[in-house]
Amino acid sequence: MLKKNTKRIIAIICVICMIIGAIIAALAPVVTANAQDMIVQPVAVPVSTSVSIFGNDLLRSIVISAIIAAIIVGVLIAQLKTVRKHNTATEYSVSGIDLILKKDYFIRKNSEKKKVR
Amino acid sequence: MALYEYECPACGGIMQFNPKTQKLQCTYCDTEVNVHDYIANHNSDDNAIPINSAANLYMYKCGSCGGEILSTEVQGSMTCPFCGNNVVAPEKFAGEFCPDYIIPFKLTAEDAKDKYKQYMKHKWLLPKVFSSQAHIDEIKGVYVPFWLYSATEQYKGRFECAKIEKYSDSGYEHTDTSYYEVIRGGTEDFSRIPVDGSKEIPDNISESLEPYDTKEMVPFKIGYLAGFLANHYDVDMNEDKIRAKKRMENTISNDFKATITGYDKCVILKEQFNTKDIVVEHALYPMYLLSTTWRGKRYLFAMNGQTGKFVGNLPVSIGKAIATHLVLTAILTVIVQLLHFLI
Repeated sequence: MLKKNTKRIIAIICVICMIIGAIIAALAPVVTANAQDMIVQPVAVPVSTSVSIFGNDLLRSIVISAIIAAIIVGVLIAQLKTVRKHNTATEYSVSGIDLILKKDYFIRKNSEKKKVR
Repeated sequence: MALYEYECPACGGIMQFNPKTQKLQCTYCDTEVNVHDYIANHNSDDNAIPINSAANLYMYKCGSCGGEILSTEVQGSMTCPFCGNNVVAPEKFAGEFCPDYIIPFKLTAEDAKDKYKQYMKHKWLLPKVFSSQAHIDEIKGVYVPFWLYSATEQYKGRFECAKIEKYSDSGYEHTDTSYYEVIRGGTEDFSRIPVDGSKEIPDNISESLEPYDTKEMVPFKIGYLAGFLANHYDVDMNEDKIRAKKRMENTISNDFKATITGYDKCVILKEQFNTKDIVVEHALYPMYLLSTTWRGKRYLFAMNGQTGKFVGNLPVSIGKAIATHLVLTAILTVIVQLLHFLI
């Protein structure tokens, strides 16, 4: 079992990673053009075309920021609720399980194939 | 039957159990006596007088001051509201109600109050009024009756599992799914799963305070109750057994499922449980209960009187939550836009 402080540190790291991931997602270009359909021009053209999901960078930033803010507020609310029912009794197990029966039987095999474009 | 009263053998003052020293201590002259060596006084020979059968209220007469001490049917350890004398009604812990064990308090009421204040700190969404005003109505050190269940749980489970293999060739994507019937069976021993035997304490509160360290559990002696409230059980051991069994079944099911590895999918077809060699013990566990009211709603907080673990559900300030969300959204939007401009 992890110590309480270790759990807290892991939770903070996860939240920071989520925030960084969301910021990168907000800034990353979205490729919508298929390379094969692009017409080759004699002048240099960008390989990928950046198109924002909602057609507006600011709106996209607001939506993603609102989602991250909701996650953070959710974490703050969870701080206030510490009463939990324990549906297991792992800490009262004397020495774990005694595995007496272990059998794995092969029944059948299904195969599917799908044409790839 | 007479009340047990805890008077100091040196000065006649009030004796109470000191969690720090684990001995009975006089609140006036600090005389200490070992719980096992102390013999309680019997100043009053009066039996309990029922005063309200509908509410199950009884009245005792304090042997020190003659004051009336009210108690419920289940309450066995009380304090005289007039002279502060600690009394125990021994018949409440006799016969079938006599506990086998007790975990004595290790922490004091002051420790509980400090933990409460600590718990309130750094809670950003807590209503300001709730944390700033003294809403602690009463802090009570209570011995709560628990049933302790030890048993061997037998398990047999049948599962349908699948291994999925994907590969591509010459314009096709293939998915091969191999199905297996998996059987697991065995046993698991459990020792002293606690289920609270009191209707007054919500189950989720008592379970949240776990675990208790049963290595510090001692044979029951009535002297440990001096200075604390204590009730005998009012939930039968057979009623609580259902809860203990459920916890054992969930645990053994999870433990056996963890032995099924190497598959991409696993579906339970059938599970069988059998509980045997059940041993039930009765113990009193220490708890501090803090009751507070806010906007007409009662909030109950509890602290494990042995380990200091503190639990309780606090209210959320909706206004603060919305304001926090809006401010965070604004700040993050500015950061994202700045990074977009810079990159």
